[in-house]
This record gives sequence, structure tokens and C-alpha cells, in this order.
Amino acid sequence: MHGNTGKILNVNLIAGEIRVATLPEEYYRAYIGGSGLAAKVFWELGDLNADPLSPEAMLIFMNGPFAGLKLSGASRNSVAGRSPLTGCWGDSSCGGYFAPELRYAGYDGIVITGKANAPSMLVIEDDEVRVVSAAEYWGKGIEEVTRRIKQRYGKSYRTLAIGPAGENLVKYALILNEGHHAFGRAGFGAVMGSKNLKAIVVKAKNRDMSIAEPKKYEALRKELNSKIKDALASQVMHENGTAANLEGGVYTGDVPIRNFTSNFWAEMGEALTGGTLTERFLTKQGACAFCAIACKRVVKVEEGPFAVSEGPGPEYETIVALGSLVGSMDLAAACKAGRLCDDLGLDTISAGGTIAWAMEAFDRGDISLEDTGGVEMRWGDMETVINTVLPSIARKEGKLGALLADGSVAAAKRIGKRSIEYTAHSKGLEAPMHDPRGGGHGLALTYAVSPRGACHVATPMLFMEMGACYYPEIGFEYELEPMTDKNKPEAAVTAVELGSIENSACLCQFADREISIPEWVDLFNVVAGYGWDMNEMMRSGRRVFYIKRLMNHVYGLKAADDNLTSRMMEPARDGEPKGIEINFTGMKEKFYSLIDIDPERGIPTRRILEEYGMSEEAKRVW
Amino acid sequence: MKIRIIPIGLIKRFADEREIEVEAGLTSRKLIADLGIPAELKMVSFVNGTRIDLDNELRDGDEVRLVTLVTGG
Repeated sequence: MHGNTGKILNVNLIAGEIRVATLPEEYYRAYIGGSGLAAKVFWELGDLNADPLSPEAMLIFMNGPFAGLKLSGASRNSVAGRSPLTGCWGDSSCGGYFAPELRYAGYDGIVITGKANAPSMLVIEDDEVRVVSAAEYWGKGIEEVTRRIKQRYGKSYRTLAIGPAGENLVKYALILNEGHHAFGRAGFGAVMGSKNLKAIVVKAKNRDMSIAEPKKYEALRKELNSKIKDALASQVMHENGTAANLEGGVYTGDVPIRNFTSNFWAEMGEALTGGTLTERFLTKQGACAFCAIACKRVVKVEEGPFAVSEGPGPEYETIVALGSLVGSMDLAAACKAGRLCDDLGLDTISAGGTIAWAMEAFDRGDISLEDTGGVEMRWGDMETVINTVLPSIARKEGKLGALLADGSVAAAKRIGKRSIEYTAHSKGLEAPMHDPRGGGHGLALTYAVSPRGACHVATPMLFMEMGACYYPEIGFEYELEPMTDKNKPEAAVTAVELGSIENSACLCQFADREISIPEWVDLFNVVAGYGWDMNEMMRSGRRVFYIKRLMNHVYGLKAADDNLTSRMMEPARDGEPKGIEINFTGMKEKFYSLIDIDPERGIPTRRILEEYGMSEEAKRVW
Repeated sequence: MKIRIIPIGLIKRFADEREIEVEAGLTSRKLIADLGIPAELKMVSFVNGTRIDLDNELRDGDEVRLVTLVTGG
């Protein structure tokens, strides 16, 4: 096998069994790697009905075929399984430095089941793999744990760690690589916590890789790296980060404000935009492995109530989730709150979304001081968010921690009083920081049909609607107008296929949008030797989407669950999208018809499953 | 005639906020090209606070906010 190693590590924490398994090559061809291959492994080998926080739950980390190959944005890793936050299929992608090291150690992935008797850590040094005590790290923040692990083993050991939030089974707990790069979404930090697994450490001696056509790959790699580096969007993000055009997004109505109640706030745009972060707090750029873009931020806030030492800084999602979404335009506070979430181990998107919901509930009188244990939840009060709310959630302390630690939907169900009506989510996953009413109606559709719930990186639809990428070779060469439904179902089919390929090949959307479709195909062929054409590659993407849909069928989801809450669908009250209706039902029906999904059951038709070589899967659902 | 250009977000990379003297009949599309803003950026123009078609003619005294849709994630 080329590109991939064909090997995965099976770790059973109850029995202490660690063994190396091989996966059939046809799995790789059909499901690529990353979240797609993880879905296939989960479907075949996982206990699908296990509670996600039970020992039986399967937790999978999976590389893509290009991990470690020194190509910009191509060395991400996916974590996957059943999400404790949504109860549905979940996956989350992370950049950073874990994937290459795992590949060099000889593995495409790690499949973990069981629960250790005591706090533990998985240590991988090539074929020496062991579970050791992590008692000394339990209860500690990720920053300290990462530092101490590196002191103990060496700086070049790559780390994944959870914080107190993961230990305490907060349902939107994250997993952090190198104390900076996040598997943020869907709560897999809590799954690690439920297994008493505080950290995973990996180190390889060698850097050997098997590539089908090494010379051709080297030439292609150099060409693509230059193309990615030289692109205007890359340069812009290098200079000012992923929030480089946050202020522009405020004018188009893309940036959510105060729990999606507003779509325009000019002063906030200027205060939080990437250029302001560069001017005020940036000390240097950071990067994921091999990436020439280097969009990550390293920041320092010198003084004031939100002073924070030099270290990881916030990207776009964090700046908005812990900024305008909670009614704040204080960039220093977003830096500090983001850093705190990293240390405690909280997903900034779901944390911001849940806190924003609570602030609105407090404002409306739907929750009182009695419900919050005496904490006033006021719009924009970042001192309270940082000093009280986030620590209470991560440690599940007091009434407030108990109320908010399971996410906005669970909290709203507990409170009642129609507070569910102002949650902003799909399938229980809090929406990311692009409001589809201004960001694009196609985004509303792709948020809704995304298997893991409201997600802006499940597909490249956001970039397709804003005109940042075109794919003429596969028919996407037309311009989309964001705030209409025109051509959106058709574009969404392409977006779903491409997004499934990206998240399976573990590519970064900021880098791969500079690569043409024929070049994507070339990459698979020269690295893995698949001999694919465009059609075969797109079919793999479609298959990945289908198997995740089948998984959600097992969890009881139907077509009606492909939805967004009214908060994100009702016409905007102000800003550029003011008063505009989204033709959601029309887009969804057309999308189902184009992609052969049953409009009631929400699963691919038997015929299309058979056409995609998924007859065995079809038998389990039809 | 005189107009005021107000670049927003990443468009600040290509232009400074300023008042400029322009020929009558200028459109936002032409202005964007004249400022050297790369054609690959999908642009919108807000004149005196309202989004207008890029081919509409600008008028004396207009405040023109230039915005691109391209954003990060």
C-alpha cells in the first residue's frame, strides 16, 4: 500500500490489549481516510448503539493519505465516533502536528475502546505502544499538561490532551494538539475523558514513507506548495489570520451578533477584525505542519483586565463566538477567553453558542439568578464569562455549570419556556460563526444536511458562495449570489462530495481551495497509486456522505432532522440580509432529489447505494 | 465630482480611506478596477449605507464602502 500504511492501532483500555490491525485496501479506495474511513470502520466494527460516554463506545483517530508528505494543509487528522453532544455521528478535524508523527510511526489511525481503571496516557513510539499512568496530569489544564509531557519525553513528542472539561464529561469538550490545535467540535474530549484517557503521545524515529510515484509526487508537491503560498487569500490570511475580513463579513451580514439576533454592528467589525488583532496583539504567525500559509496567531495582551501571556491566539470562529455572538467587541477579552477555553478544554464555538443562548434567556427573564446560582448573564460581560462562566462549565460547578455543560439544546430543554426557539443549531450542534442569512442560503442547506450537525467546514459551500473557488472541470463554474436559492441545490451536491473528500483526505480548506480538481486527482494517483479519474474520486466523496447518513439513520434521524432552528431561518432583523426569506424547503427537496436521498427517511435510496457499491450497507437499512 | 472611498476589512490592503476627485459616470466596478483590487475578489459596494449594483453610476459626494465577500472560517 502506498501513501497510507494500511495499519491501525487497536487499543482496548479495559483489557490493556494493544494490537496492530490492517484494513482492507478497498476500504481506503472507497472511503479515502480521515472521517470517511473512520465512518466505515465504525460502521463495520463499532458498537453503534453504545452510549458515547460508555466504555463500549469506539473512539477513532484517522489520518488521510497525505499525512506527513510535506504538502501545505494536507496533514490534518480526524477524530470520529458517536458524538456525546448530539447523540449522532460526529467527527472533528484538527491541523497541527499529530498526523505526520502518527504516520511516521507506522499507523493510519488509532481505534480506542474500553475504559482504563485509572487516569492514563497512551504512548506510541513506533512499534512500542503502551498505556501509562496519567495520574499526575489529571485535573490539570492542557497548557500545563502539554508542557510537562514535553519536559518528560522531549519537545519533538507530539501530544493530544484533554482538559478538565473532558475529564468532567462536558459534552462539548475538545482535544488539543500541542496545546494549540483543536479537535474542537462534537465533544470528543468528553469521550476521551470517559475512557480515563488524559493524553496521547506519539514519536517516530524515522520519516520513511511509501509513495507510489515519488518523483512525480515531488514535482507536484513543489508546484502545489508554491501555488498555495502565492495565492492572494493565503497571503491575506498569513498577514491577518482567518479573521482577516471579519469586518467585511459584518457588512454582508455573515457575522452573527448577540445569539443571531442581529446582522450588523459596524464598530464591532472594526474592533474584532484580523487587521486589528495584528496591530494590537500579534507577536508572530503560527502554522500547522508543512503549511506555507501559516494562518495561526500567536498573541500577547500586555495589560488590562484581559492581559494574557504570549501564546496561542484566537482564529475567526473563536473571535466571533467569544466576541460579537455574546455581545462583546473586546478583542483582548476574546484572546483571553479563547486561551482559557484551550486550557480548560472547551470548544469555543459551542461554548460561545451556549453562553449566548444563556445571555438571551437571562435578558428575556427565562432564566433567573436562581437558575444560574446567582450569576448575572449580561450581554458583553466578558469578565463574568472568563472569571465565572467558563470555569463553572468546565468543572461542572454550581447550578450554572450543571445547566450549561451539556450545550444549549439540553439547557433549553431543561429550562423550557420556549427557550428552545432561540437556540441556534442543527442536530444539536451549535452553529458556527457564519450566519447563513447573510453568508449564503446554500450554507443554510449544507448546515442542515451535514451529518454531524451545523458545520461550515463539512463542505466548501461558504467559499463557493463567496466566489473564492470554482471547479469548472466538475461543472461548478457559475457565480453564486449568496442571498438567493439560485443554483444552490446543484452547488450543494458538489460541495457535499468535495467536502467529504476534503475531510477524508484530511485536507485544509484554506489550502486545498487553491488546488484544481485534476490536481486533487493527481495527488491521489501519484501518492496512493489509485489510477482514479475525476468521477471515481467524486464517487468516493459521495460514498463518505452516504455512510454517515446511514449512521444517523441508526441513531433515529430522519429527513425532518435536516433542519436549522427558526433563529437562523427567520428573516434577519437588520443589516444586509434584513427581511430576506430563505427558500429552505425548496432547496432541500431539490437537493434530496439530485443526490438520491429518500425525502422521508433521509437516507440514500437502495438503488443509489447499490450503484455506489454499498449493497451490504443497503441491506442494513432497506 | 468628489467621492469618499471607505475600504472595509481586507480591502484596506488595497486602498486607504480618502476623498478623491473622479470623472462623472464612474461606477463602483470601474472604481474597484482603478484601485487595483484583484478581479478574483468578489466585491460588493455600499453607497451611503445602501448596497448598490456595481454598475450603477456614483454621484458627487457619495460615500463608497468597498467590501469583499471572501472570508475565513
